[in-house]
Amino acid sequence: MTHSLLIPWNRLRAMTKALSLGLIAIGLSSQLCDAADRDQASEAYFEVQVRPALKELCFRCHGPDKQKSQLRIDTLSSDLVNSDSGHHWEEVLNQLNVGEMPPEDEPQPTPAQLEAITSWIHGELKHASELRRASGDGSSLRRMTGYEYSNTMRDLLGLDLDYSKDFPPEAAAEEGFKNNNYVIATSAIHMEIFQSIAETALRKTLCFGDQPERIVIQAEPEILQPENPYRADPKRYKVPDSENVDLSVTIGERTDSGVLLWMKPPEPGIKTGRFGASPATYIDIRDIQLSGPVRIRVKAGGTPSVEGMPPRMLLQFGYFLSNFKVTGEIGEVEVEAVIDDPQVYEFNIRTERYPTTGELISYLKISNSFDAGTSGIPKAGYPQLFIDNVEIVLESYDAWPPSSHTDILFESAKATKDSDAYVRLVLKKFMTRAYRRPPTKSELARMAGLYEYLHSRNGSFEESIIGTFSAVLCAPGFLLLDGQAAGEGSGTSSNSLTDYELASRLSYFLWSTMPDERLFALAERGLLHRPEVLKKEALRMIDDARSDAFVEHFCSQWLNLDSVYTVMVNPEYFRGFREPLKDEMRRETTEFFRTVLKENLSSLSLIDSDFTVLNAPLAKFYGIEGVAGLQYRKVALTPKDRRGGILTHGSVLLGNSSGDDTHPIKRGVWLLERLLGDPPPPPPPAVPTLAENTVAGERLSLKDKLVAHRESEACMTCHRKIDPWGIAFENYSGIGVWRDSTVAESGAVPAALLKSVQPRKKRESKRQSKRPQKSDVVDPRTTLANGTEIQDLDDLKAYLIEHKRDAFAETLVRKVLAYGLGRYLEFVDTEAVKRLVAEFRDDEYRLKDLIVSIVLSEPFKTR
Amino acid sequence: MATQSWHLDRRTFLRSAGVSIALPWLEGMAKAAPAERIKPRMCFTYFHYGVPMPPDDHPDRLKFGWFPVGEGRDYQATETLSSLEPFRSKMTYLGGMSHPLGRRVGGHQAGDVFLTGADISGKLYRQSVSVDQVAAMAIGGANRFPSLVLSTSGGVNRPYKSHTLSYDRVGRPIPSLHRPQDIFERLFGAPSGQSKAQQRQAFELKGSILDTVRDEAASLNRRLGKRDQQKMDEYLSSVREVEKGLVRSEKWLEVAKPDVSVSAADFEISPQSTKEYIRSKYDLMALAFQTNSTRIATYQTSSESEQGYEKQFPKALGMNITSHNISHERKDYEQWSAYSQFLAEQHAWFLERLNSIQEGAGTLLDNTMVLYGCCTSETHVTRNYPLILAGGSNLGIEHGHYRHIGEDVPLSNLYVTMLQKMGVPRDSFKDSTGPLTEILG
Repeated sequence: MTHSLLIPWNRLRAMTKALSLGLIAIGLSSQLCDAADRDQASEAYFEVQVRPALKELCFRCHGPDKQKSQLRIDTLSSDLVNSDSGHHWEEVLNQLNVGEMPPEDEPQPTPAQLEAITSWIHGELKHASELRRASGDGSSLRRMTGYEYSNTMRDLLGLDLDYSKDFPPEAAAEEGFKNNNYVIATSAIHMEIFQSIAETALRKTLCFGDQPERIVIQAEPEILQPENPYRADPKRYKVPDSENVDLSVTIGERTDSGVLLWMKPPEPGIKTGRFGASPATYIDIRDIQLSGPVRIRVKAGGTPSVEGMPPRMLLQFGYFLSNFKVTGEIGEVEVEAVIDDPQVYEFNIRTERYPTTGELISYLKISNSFDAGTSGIPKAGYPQLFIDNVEIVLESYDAWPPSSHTDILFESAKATKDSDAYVRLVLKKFMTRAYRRPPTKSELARMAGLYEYLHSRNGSFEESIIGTFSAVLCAPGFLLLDGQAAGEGSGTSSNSLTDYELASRLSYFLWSTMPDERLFALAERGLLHRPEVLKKEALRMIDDARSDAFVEHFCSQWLNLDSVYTVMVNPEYFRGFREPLKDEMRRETTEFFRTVLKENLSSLSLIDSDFTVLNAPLAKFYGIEGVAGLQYRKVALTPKDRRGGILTHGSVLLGNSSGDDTHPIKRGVWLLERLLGDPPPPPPPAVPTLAENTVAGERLSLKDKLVAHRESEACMTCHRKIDPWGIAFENYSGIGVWRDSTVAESGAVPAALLKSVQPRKKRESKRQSKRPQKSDVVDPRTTLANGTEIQDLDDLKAYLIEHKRDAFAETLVRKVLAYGLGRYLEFVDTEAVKRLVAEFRDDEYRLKDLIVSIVLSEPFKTR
Repeated sequence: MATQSWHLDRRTFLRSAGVSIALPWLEGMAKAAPAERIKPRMCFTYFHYGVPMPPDDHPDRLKFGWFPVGEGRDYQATETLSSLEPFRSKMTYLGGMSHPLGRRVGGHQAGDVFLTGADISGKLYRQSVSVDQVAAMAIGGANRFPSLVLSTSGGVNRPYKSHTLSYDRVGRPIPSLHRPQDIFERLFGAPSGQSKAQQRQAFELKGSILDTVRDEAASLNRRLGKRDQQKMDEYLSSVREVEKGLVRSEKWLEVAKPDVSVSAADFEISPQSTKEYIRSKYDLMALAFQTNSTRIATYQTSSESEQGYEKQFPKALGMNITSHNISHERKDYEQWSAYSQFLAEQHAWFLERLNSIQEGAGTLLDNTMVLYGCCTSETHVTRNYPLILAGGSNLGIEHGHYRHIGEDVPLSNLYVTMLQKMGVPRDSFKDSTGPLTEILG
């Protein structure tokens, strides 16, 4: 019926646009002059030109019979504006553009068909995105994540507690981020938790009663008596008959002035347990209700080990529960003071952050944690930690009422004269900070109304204030970010964020918390949206220490660093590996990222670099010399150190292994997904794993197994794109140690090899040999799907930098942008991403510059 | 580590199978009132990644298989499930069933539909209400807790990899609870030292706070775009849910929470102690049913997410392989059987718990329908779900069979029957074609 419309769709669109501007139509009926007709023309074009081509090329695998990759095209709506089909069409467009689809062995599209399909999709996507942007109907409204909530409460109330520990666990969206508004949900359980946390927190923030009595506990270890005086070499000491406080030592020696926490080196031939106790002293506190701030001062000194390792003092706080202990870490320091001149080390904590109960005995544990996080115990001479005395001050408020109270219920002449007016005053200030914008008149009136109601219902001033402020902390104005469009705006169109919203978006992006005074002030004056102001603020915020939150959350979520915790390292194959080392590995990557960001280095250094950021335990693990202390610092690398770029970080290598061995597939998928933005589709049902492909009676090398795996029809299409990337990592063992053969000194054994010797049942396993029976030379050589030969990981890194930098750059842009917006990127963002990638390239991929570009970009400033 | 706040130094305690926590007053009550109407309960439990299925002519079919051999009353149970044999007369194997709409997604994604039967294919992921919540909405109000939603890893996680079996009225996932001590606190913890008048006042305060914030949300909502409104609706319905809960709590104020002579501290169990961790929640469900705190529970003993604790469950058996990979090594029937056996043993422990509690003329198990199953059979095949329905003899379920139901009968038919046995007047659920009369005597 519409054969007169046989022209490429992009040309038609151009004409339609011209028409809508009131120009004269050429060769087209004047019916196209309004939107309905445009849609009709599009539909007609789709039916005549596009659909037949799709039918011929796509429907066989993406139609009624089969839905490969879960995509069905024949039922996709051609109306991209009023349906959600847009992202599917975008996928179709991408596949056609890169030539991935149709597959090589299927009929290929003619140039005319290709042109018809791609020009139509492209035009429709653009049209839909323009309409959607103009209507301001993008969604960015979202609840704060658990960690954002906790940080915001901390800054709003001035009290540093862990407010989100009772939250249900939160998931990351498919592209990796937890702040994604599609996955983050609010349920009744959340509301209950918000309500109860708000009340509890306000009772701690606002201190109406009398100051609680300070309790000072002084512990002098020299009063200790041997627990068992009959033993020649008593190791345990105790204070007899003390009333509320008890002091004991597990391993150590009493001296005339204190206690020495250390261990004699094991005698040759004597086996020492891996999980043996560390030398420690305990201070038990009984029948004292613990709450509020606690100050702990430990006067300590030490003697380094023969190898020069200083003692590490670890403080933990917890309680005894029948025969086990629940603990939380307070802090860890390296004690550099000498024994003859002990120094005071001070810690300030809030007991609420720690597991304590009034009924059970609480304790402070001070231990010499010299061996934590290292893969070995010094062979000769442990460092000694000397404790001279310990002072614990409970309820150690600096002032009363504390500043958390006076900041909210500030002094005012009105406080006594006109209490209702005073309540409105404090409420307005509190709500402005909590909502991150001035409350509207009706919002303020509503909360003031609640106060009056509670007050009239025989509530005291104090209780009514707590009730009202709890409501503020449960209100959508506080809990939901973005898109409220309330308050005074300085934006020019309804689609732009107001200055206050912009302040929030900035601060949740870079600080994971509410805006500070300065951002508020700039928003109030309506200056923040100005590009030069925005740029200056973004730079100020990155340089501020609070941007640690961005480094921590963006970097760990992007790279999935928490995966180190879900991999259980098999202690039989990796002797001496200690769990705390995982924290250090994770830390290395975030510290490295921080350095790249703060020094505004090229993001390509994430792929390869001539430095890394290390502390002593990790340096020791990697075998890099000359790094002492727990502090992370930039360390220059030589090529033989083999630790340039995050691909060689323990966090990535261990986090993408099986715990028993390397896992080339996991490593390959990680690289594709996280760095190259090209996640492979999920495996089809009922595919065999590696082991099943073993040729009967023959033990194949890991690489041969992967080859066999790929040769199987079901696996080939995907795995030829995955495995080669992962194989290049083979020189790094399952825990990330360098190895030349599969039986490295660390005892790394490929799981595949072990399967034959490794029994199923635990009870049998003890008798079996823990050591592998065959070793192989590691072979990291690999051929990528496109035929490129790669020698090893260094070669792969060079290849990535040389040939994949565009993909990497675009991925990083997309990831940072998605994180900054708290939502999935959609086709409406495509143009902005393109521009950002171009700018990023011009800025030589400098990370700080990228963040500034994103802050200035269109999507960041609009809803 | 990230997901755990506190490190537990040592495993707490080991409770042996079948030893129930004594509740003298309850048993006393049950004996005193034998004529009391039976209170039906329902419980849905899920395990991950399917079951070993050696072919029928395989020499080790009976040893390593999961589904029984034969049919009807004379079926032969496999060694894998020998731990369930003591309950043979109180349970039924169901063969061939699945959710027809659930077959539209691949086996890596099918678990989310276990209790909803929804079509979640395509990028939109449209869920619908789960069967337990249908019951909870209809009859849950008569108990302190309309339902209990438990899992191993907690929260909701993300679409296709849910950490929950339950979905609300409009298909929103309900976060599951996973820390045993938190669940205990919720069920049995007493508010510290508050009088009833004080508690009532606290409820009233909470009520007025919720009123206020709901009002604010409603007025904001009018100014939002369409998609943002959906987010705000989610917020609003959460507020409404809590308000309903408050009303319920107030009603229950007069009734003291049951005293169960164990404390939350007894439930400080780390996920690393796999067996105790799984059992602790089975135990809490039994306690909740026994005390009539709720009559409806779901427990995802293991999900198909790669983020959860369950990924490492096989380590409890000394296996150095993840649960997912066990299912992919499907020809290694021995290994898979050993793992399935382990999971079934924990379930058998739960059935034993229920069966050891006398209630009226029978046991708690006779009044509780317990479904145990998974959304895949062989590796990621989304048909012929492995399913065992146990308990509920007093409700009219005839057990002792392996019933081959067949593929054309939607699993939703079973749910219709279960709902009806709960006293919920429903004759359909999702894509059901009627009740599953085969299981009735």
